[in-house]
Amino acid sequence: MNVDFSIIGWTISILAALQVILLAILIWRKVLRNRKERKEQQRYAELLPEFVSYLYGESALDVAKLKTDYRVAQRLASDIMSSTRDEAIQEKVRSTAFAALQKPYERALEDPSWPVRMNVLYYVQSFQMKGLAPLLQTKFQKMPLWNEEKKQMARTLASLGDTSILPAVYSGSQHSQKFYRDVLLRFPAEADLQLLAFYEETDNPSYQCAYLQRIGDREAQEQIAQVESALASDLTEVRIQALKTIGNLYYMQAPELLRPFFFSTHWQERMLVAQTVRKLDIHEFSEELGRILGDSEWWVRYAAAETILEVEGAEKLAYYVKNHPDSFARDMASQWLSTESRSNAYA
Amino acid sequence: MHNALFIALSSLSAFVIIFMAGTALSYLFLFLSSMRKVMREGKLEKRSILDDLSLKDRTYPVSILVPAYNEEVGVISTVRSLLTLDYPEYEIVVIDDGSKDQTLTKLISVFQMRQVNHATRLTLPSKPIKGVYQSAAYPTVKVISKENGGKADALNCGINASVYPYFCAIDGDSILEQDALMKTMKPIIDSEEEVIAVGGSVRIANGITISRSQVEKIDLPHKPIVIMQIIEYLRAFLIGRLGFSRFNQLLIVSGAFGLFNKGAVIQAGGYTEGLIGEDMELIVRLHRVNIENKLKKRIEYIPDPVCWTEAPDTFSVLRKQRVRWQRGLAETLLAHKKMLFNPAYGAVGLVTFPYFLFVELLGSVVELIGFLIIIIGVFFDILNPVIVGTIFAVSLLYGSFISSLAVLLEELTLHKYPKVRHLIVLFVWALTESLWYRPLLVLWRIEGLLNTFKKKAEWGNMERKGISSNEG
Repeated sequence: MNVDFSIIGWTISILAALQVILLAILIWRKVLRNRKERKEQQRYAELLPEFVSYLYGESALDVAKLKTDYRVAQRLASDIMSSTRDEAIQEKVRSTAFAALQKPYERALEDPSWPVRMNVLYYVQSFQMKGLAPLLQTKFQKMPLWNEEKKQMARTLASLGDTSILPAVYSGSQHSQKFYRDVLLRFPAEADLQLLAFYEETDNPSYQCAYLQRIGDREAQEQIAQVESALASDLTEVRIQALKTIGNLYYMQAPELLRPFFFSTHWQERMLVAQTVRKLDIHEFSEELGRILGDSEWWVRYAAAETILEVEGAEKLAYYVKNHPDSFARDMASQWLSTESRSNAYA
Repeated sequence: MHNALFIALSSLSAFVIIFMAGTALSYLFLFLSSMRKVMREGKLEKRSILDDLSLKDRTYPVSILVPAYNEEVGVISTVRSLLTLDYPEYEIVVIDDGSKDQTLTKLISVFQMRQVNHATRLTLPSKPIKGVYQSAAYPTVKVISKENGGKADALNCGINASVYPYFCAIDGDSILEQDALMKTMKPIIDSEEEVIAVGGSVRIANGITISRSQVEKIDLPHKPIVIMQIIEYLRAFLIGRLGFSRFNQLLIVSGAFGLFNKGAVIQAGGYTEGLIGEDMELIVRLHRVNIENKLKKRIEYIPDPVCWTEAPDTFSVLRKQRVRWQRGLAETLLAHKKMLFNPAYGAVGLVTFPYFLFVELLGSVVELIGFLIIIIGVFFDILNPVIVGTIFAVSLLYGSFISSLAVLLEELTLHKYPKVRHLIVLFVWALTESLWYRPLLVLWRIEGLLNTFKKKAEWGNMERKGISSNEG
């Protein structure tokens, strides 16, 4: 086999060389990364007791120490924020984070790397760094397209209570319900009036649903009138969201408004009304519940049986096990009688 | 005569070279097309991605289905690991498919199960249920004991018995990462339910330390055969699936871990009984239903490692597994042959389906021819050594180089293996792939191909050693 292998040899050699070079680069990167992570971990371990002691008022803290490595400061603040519900401590963490992180974050927001900017936007929201709102607002207005970064910026600004973004958010292109919900749920209570004004004007169902969800999330029982009037909406998705919100509020003024939903042509509404009756512990729909226990849809029977058990008791369910004319209803009643779980079926 | 043989072999060699080089290039294309996205998103803080989802109303509740047949060794740790998942609302449904070992007894005793009545829907056909049990200690854990009917039948039964609108199918010997469900649900939430199925990266658990059903330490196993499977999984998941997912052409979501919209699966008819590759077949059918009904649904893959599973550590068990997999692939492609080169199925019919047929299924035959040509060239001096050498070079490109690239990609994107040593060991073993591991796979895949029409599907019976350090 005395033939010139030069082309093949070269091809293999070049490919092999490329891979070896790539391997060398990655080894080098990994060594650096591991070293950096060890250093950060060490620094974190050193600063943690000092930081905790400062938060609980036992000692002072030299913020300059935190400024030396902003990633460590960020991690310290973030870990403590997620491990405590104490509002006073959280506020102290926020103010310390702002002192230590404002400058690095201003720089990072100009970083060419997309993930760096996105991560900072998240932390600005998490630490409620209102001092950065003007800078974010300027950047937000300058961004022409609704890309992922602009959307995250809107979420962050909403969490900082900056209502100046509202016209841009709601007069711009049609967004998904998820996006409206993400933005609306972040606004603090002070934005309620402006959000309500838009809700009353708009016929955008995604916005309407997001607004109703916000009422439920904030447990704003004083807004029950808006929710109850949404039960009469022509749009199924809005009515469904209104039912969910009532469930989340555990409250309504006029339970009679629920009655038509037992006869809805949409099984999701029949299921949700059963769940709502259970959550609000309403006793006036015994007949309707018995009827939908024999519903053609499994989810509805499931929710009805659960509600009968919780609202009317095991005796009523036992009665249905023996006397319900529908065999599927008897099976479902029997299941709930023998089951301890009270988990909910989902729309 | 000698001349004719030479021409025939030369032509065959040219075909093998073009085929292997083309396939290797297609892998590179698939990877490059999705690399930017992965690298960008890989650097995002995990918390920032998942924070919004951790609240109950931001996600959909999920039923986790664990089909189990003779899984007494691993099923307890699997359920335990599922109990620690970080997800707002889920239930665990273990479907004991008539196990002959102590699977059911162990579950009943460890989780304090008691028999309950159950009004199971019969949306999909499955073998009769013998009993439904619910844990007194963990009310979200259910066990369905049913007559033996195979994995697809067990999954269909689990779909019937589960209560939530999404289900996650996992193998009875797998351990999920704590935020696995959350990560996998994210594409569904982000797309507002346009995504109907999501697969995550499955990684090999041999070598890692799992304590209290949680991954504690990641290390490499000692056996080369297991290391090679780690590399193979990296290649399949990081290069192949990622690229296909980018173009909504993913035809496989691993049976070891996948999240599905239950309504879409029921609409497609559930899992098909009697097939070995029920996981792939379901995905192909979802695509088919999607296209036939002009639905704009997507099937996606997320590169994050979310599921750890035990890999075979002997040649005999690995052979059995691969023979089954290849047979499963063949059965699926055969079942949906209507899609092949059918423009009505768009890119799936014209590109991806043929790719799976000619590269994933029949590629083993071409590779075998390639190896034979190398042997003939070396020992009989019939062929021009340049041709033989070229085939050897493309074999290296196709096998070793692409695999070692997958190792490098892992480090570049996810860097799950913490030590420099891991990177070097994986890389060096990857380079040896074409010399011993790949020829073995080729033989087993051809055996699987030949077995396609032989016998009825049954559960794979891989010997389990268990991957958690605290069983029982």
